[in-house]
Amino acid sequence: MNELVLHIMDIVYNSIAACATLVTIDIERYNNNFLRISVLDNGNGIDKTTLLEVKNPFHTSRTTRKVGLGLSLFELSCTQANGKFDVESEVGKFTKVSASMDTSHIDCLPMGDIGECIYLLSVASDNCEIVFNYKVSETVFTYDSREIKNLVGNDLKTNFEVIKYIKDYVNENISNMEV
Amino acid sequence: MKSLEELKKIKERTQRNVNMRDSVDGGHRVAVGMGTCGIASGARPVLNTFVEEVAKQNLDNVLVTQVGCMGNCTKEPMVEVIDSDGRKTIYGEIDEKKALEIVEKHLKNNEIIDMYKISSLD
Repeated sequence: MNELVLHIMDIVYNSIAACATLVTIDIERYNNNFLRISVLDNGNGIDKTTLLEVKNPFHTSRTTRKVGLGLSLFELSCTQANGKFDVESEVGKFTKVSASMDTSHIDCLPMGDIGECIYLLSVASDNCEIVFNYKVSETVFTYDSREIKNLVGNDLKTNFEVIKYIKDYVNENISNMEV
Repeated sequence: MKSLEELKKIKERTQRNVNMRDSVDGGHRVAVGMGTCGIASGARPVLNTFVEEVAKQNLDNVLVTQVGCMGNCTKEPMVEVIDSDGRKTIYGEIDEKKALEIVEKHLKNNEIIDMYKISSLD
């Protein structure tokens, strides 16, 4: 992966595959150069034994192949930038993936286009809604795909003006918060 | 500063009232592989190109969907196009430029691009 948003997308697709109906993505910047990312879903969850193995690249839930690289790649991206990576879960309740990193570290990946990522995830599944919080010190920007769907309905997928506006709306609000 | 208030106005001004259909009568379904392998090899800009072009050109009988790993990771980013008669075409190693070509040739003119095709099923 060459951008952090790609990792986020990858994790959210896991949530969708686990039948989640609500995914909350939090990005927080603090102390100038620290970044915390968490993805919380209300999907099937992971049992305790699997949880121990989940970051192992040779563990996967699929049957077609013996490797599963999503979480292990994300862990690598965090640890190489002085950060931490953790997965918590309770069967039938939630799964939470938390990542942190030092953005001033030379090996820290660039963030990438958050607006595009959030838009694409909003239309990834009809049954899964996305809440996105971007926090810099005390200010928070919140995006809720349910709110957007109430406003624009099917135009979310078919109206080019709307699609473009949503991406710019997210990106503009975020960049205004940068310190 | 952009706001949701303005988004509402844009929607009212440009509203298209398209009924999204699950079946694609006379149209196509495009499935972009968004597994870890797909994302890592550049599926996001490909997906974005399909979503934007289909909306921009008002191709109302094209449905763009996101799917998981398609099982041939070395050929990612992969795109599967399912025609209304059930014919499936799988394209491999697609980038934004090739995606545009698929929109123009396959989605608009039903013309399969053999150069990018890795397999097909009737």
